Amino acid sequence: MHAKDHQIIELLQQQDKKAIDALYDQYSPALYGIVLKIVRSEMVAQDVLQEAFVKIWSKGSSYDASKGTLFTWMLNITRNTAIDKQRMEETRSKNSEKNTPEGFMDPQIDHIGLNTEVGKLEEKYRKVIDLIYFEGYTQEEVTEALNIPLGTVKSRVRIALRELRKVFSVQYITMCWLLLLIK
Amino acid sequence: MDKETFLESGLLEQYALGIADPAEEQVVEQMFNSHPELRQEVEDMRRAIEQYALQHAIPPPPAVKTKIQQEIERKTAAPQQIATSGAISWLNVVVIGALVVLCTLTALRMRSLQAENKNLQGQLVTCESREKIVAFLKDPQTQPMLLQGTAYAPQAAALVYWNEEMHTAMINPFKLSPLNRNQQYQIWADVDGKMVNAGLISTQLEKHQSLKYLPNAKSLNITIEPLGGSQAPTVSRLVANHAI
Repeated sequence: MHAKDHQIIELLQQQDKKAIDALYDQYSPALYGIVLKIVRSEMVAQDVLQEAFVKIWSKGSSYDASKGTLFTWMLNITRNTAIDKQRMEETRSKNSEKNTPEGFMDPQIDHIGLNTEVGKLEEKYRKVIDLIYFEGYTQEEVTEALNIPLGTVKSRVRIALRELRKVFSVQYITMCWLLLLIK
Repeated sequence: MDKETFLESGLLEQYALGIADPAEEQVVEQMFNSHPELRQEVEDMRRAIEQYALQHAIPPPPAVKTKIQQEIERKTAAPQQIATSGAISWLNVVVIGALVVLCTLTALRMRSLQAENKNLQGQLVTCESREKIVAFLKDPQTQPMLLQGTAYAPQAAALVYWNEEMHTAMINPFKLSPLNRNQQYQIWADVDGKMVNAGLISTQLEKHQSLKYLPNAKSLNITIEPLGGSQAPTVSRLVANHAI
């Protein structure tokens, strides 16, 4: 994935349209999954994804590999697009029906496509990481949304990341081992 | 900041998640300098979280890809379109200019054609009337009468053609001198002792002009009158006359 990224980045920076095809094929399912966590309808999610890819295309030359992986960069663009859209939708529905409750929306996590691997992450850690990583909450916003102290949020983030690393490194090792067996 | 405190702060995770603010980013990057192994930590965290994200992957409907490709196609084509529209507007100027010239030429041509048409029509009328005139003059019943100059204008003379049967009369003012612009010759017939208007002679003094046929006219008289004629003859300016 990362070796291929290198070629895609080059294409993207040259404003080659092949870059978007490659990025889309590689990452659109992951990004779409995240968008669906933020916005509520598939129609809106599709609009967001389209908008995000157009932004990715036009911002392509500003991508700095030293600041993070291509995926994280794309994720940030996509997430911000989705959050903007969601806020717009909320304002609109608030304007149309005044009785919509204010404040944070109920985090609708894990309503879609969760793999068993992720199931290994304990619910309380997963909630924190999902809010921050997928929905763009700041740690302070998470304390408000989940009604837990900032210190707890921070430690949960840390544990969540540690656990994820374990999960995926185990997965990685298993995969390598399996590959060796096949050979 | 020692490594232990730094790891406790949660900054590295924030950095890996991309939610560190610029000041926090700076702290993390300084830590990278003193503890290069932390870079690998961040790399691993990012890879793990990416894997996590990929677990949530849901393939979007295929139509989205087409839409994105079209949108990008449109965006990249946009500058060219601007260039083309620039060329088009330049072309427009040329086309408009050409049309203006064409319209002007057409208008001018129309005017000259109209003038020509009028002229031809005039000639046609002249032709037709000339035939009539010839027929009238050749008619056996047409009698020429010479109106001779008076003492007021001894050189003046005009020929009147008189046809009792056709009740038609014409005049050829062949020897009337041109008048100034606000004067005109007028013809009078003496009918039962009264001077009756028999018509005006055109200022151009054309050769054959109609005049009013008055059956019981005893004499014909030509006077100089103000332009447009008078109700009664100015006898003092009688230039020619003839008794029938």
